[in-house]
Amino acid sequence: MFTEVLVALVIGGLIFFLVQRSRTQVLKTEDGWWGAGAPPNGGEDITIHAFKVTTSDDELKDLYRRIDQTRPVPSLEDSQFHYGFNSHYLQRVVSYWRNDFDWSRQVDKLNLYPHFKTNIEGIDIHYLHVKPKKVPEGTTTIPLIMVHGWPGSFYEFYGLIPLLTEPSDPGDLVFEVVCPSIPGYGFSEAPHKKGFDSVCAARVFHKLMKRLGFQQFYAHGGDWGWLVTTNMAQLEPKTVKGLHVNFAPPSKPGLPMALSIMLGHRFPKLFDFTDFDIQRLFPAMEKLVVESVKESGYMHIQATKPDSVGRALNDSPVGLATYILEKFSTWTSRDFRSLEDGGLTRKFSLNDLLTNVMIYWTSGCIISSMRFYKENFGKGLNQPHSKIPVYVPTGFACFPNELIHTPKLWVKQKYRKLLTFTTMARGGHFAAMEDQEPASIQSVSCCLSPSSPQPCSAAY
Amino acid sequence: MSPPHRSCIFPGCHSVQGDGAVSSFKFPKEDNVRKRWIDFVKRSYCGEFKITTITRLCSVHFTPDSYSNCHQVKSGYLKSLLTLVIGAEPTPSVPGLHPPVPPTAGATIPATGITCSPESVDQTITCELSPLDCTMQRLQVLKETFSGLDAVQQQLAICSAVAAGGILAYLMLRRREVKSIPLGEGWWGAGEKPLLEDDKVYPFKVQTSDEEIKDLHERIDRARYSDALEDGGFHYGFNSTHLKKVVSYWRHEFDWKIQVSVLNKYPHFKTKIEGLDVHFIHVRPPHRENQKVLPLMLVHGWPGSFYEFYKILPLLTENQDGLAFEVICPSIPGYGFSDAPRKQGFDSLATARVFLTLMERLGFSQFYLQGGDWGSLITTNMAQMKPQCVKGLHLNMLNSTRGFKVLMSLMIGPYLPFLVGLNREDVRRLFPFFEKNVWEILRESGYFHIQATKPDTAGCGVNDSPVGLAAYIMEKFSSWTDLSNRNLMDGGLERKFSLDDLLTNVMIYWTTGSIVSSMRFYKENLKSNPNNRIDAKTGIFVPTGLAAFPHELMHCPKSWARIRYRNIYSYTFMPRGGHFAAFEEPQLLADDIIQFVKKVEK
Repeated sequence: MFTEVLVALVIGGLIFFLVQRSRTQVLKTEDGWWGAGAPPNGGEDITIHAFKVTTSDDELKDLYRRIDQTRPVPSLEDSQFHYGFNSHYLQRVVSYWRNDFDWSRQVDKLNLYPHFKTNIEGIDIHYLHVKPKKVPEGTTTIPLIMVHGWPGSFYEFYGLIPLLTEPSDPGDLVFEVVCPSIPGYGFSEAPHKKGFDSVCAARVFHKLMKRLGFQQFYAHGGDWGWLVTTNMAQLEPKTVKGLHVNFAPPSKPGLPMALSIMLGHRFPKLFDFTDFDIQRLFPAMEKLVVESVKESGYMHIQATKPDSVGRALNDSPVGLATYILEKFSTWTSRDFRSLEDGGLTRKFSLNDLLTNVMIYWTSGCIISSMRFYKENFGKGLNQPHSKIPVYVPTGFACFPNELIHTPKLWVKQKYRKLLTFTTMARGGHFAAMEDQEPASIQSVSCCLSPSSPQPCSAAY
Repeated sequence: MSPPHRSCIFPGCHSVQGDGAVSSFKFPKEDNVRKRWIDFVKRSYCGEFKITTITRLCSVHFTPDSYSNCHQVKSGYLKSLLTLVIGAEPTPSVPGLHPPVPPTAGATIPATGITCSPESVDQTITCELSPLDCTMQRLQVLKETFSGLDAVQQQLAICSAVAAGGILAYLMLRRREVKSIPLGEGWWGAGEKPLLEDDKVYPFKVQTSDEEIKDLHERIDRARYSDALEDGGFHYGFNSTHLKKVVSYWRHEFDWKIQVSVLNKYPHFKTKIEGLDVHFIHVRPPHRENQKVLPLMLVHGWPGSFYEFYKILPLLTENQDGLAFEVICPSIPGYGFSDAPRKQGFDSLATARVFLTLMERLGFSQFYLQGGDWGSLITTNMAQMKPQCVKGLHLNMLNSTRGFKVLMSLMIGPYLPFLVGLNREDVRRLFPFFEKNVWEILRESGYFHIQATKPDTAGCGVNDSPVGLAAYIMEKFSSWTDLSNRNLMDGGLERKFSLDDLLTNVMIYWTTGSIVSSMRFYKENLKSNPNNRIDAKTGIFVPTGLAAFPHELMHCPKSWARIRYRNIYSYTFMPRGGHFAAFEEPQLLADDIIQFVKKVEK
């Protein structure tokens, strides 16, 4: 009798545990108001305004004067990029910026795609909305929201957008792309109140997608975009049909992760580690801790005193370029720290890099973009969204030079329906900007579409 | 044939029988009494001796109550010799003759003796025998004692001897651990080191020009502000609404020319050391009769400068009970008017060496040191490099070490502080530990992290924007003076400082363009794990005085400080004040320095 009761209890408990486990946990959130002062009494203004990036001679004159009056700081001898942006190479970049870079032309390029603004929760949200020019008959376009990170902007996706909206192969999927600027970044208004974190951004973007009439859509993100789109999937798992990320640092260290760090080197098969995983993760102390500490100073100060560190950058274009472009060097490949020119132009053109800097400069958004770190970290790391797994079908693109390497096992801890895990042949943190070749996009698109009949294979 | 020489066998006692004043006695026959006589002699006798019929011990070694006829003989009533009572034992009682044997219970020494003065029992004597003999004799005694023990006792004795030996060896090693760290060498100028270096000391004056001020004002006028968050206070950094007010004062009321003349109130100098022009001020006290003048070096930190000391200087150079200081305040290379190193690796050890060279060049062979922030590390390194030159080290900030002892006091401290050497004030300042020493430090150390990794990235913009520089520097003067200042819209800046003083410090960074090189000092010091550096593993043996200010970022109790600072003369819980002690509470700090120096001078 006693044994039977015991067995029944154990089985019951097991079933309860499994049901509990498979029950989709949904992240909860409440509406906010981020505009200046108190929210108005009338209903929200839901109109959408077309927007164009503009510039003026005054803006350029002021920029050039500031560049000309920059007080240079010579780098230490033989220091390359180890102390930050090297001053010798900086002079060349600045000279290009001052004499050759044509901002008006870049503005025209920015305006190639239609920009819009609409007010959500008290702040103006800027976004690009790119519809495919031709849709082959019988196919429907797939709506996709792509979210950038720091120190990037919507411009990161400019190379990617045509590949998604105008595929060269007629058999490919066709996307309708929405690229918003995170509030506080680029042409989106900065929140005026404390507390605007990734969950708020996710909620605002859901509202944006609804306002644009999308009932269901796909989402892609890297850097902060990863967290914002992940939060979107957690907030409304039914609305987000698929999630694609190229960055997924473990949000909550669990037992499997701890074990894999301790034993992974000895028993790689146990944790499904590839040779590349081993190479990137071990020795764990050096690769995971020391390297992270060396590269996370910006994060620490932005997560604590954004207004102190950002003040000068908003006042000095050269300082801003130094601060932002160093990341484009080091995060693309750590080995670039040992190069006199930081390897910047190996993967990017100065035009693209400076356009991104100019988006920060002309909109004066560096401080508000940094505050996003404080809002996300300031509340502690134990936020509800870091505890809830993601049940939306997920694709992960694993770029070899990403800042924090995440083996499949770790990604799976968070993304329970990991449909694809693609190991890329090359590329770093700024994947969308760096690797603009069709093949990688194909992998992205097939990952995004779990229902797609195409076999999903590694692109390289 | 002369009769056998019947002198006293006791070493160093030259009494001979028949001297009149003394009597000699044969060794008794009873075994146990005889043994005690022999033991008595053995205690002082080196080498072997044989008891024969002529071996004597004289009356000097016996107390009056050992004799049956003492009183009669002394009064002259009896003319015969002294006679010992049966079982009488010799007693150590002669000055300069008997080795010190602690008087045991029962071995009372009489108030009056025939020849002995009992007051001298405690006096030590010098062994007249060769040290080798002494050792041999003691070994012999040890051997005999040892062989007298049974097997278990022997094993026990061996074990305890080994253990004691181990502990002793460990203590010896610890004592012998490096007490000073090597000076090392370096060359930090641009290019190759020249064969000869100019070691003259040149006077220097701070200067400014209208162009400099015009450029500054232009930049200030063009500053691009962005809105502060509502109710952000100073939590997000320098509040931009208040920054506008500060900058408006800077632009319209602050007079740099007046401040330059304030800076030039004290004589400035520069001299070249290791390829770098090192700037310093050198202030002598006014001459007075009967005044002891002590040289003292004050070393600043980040984001301060030599100007931090301008309020404490007059307090130190004035006469206090016959003491006055001759003060030297250098600028750390890379800070203020000192040259910035052009090569990698200029850390606190290099700075300490440069400053030691500076003191040597100025002709000081012994001096006092004071420092806070980086100054505390630099002065500590100086004391480790040349302990013989540093008479005393006074610090108003120190980093706690890590280790078992610290861990123990963290665990036990909140409950039983006295067990781990913490007092009530320590507990109040340390706990709750995680909130005060981990989270709070994480919140306040972002600047540290970025400066220790990418100083050039962080500093480039700051060097280009005066408003950005002021925000970056002055935020520290708000938060580090009192963390609760972060809740205030104005950061509580003017509660403790005047805007003139704060902006003068900012101007020193601005006009010299030294913010990036000052930030690099963090990277150089943290290139390798600071806990593995030689200075972290070496104790400090010079007299040390510590002033613990209540709002210092991290509190270090005396029991933790003692782990490294082995010779703490004074440890003071200061009643008020924060990180910038000299700038904020000059009188309190000066008083503490003076009381510390007085203690050392005694």
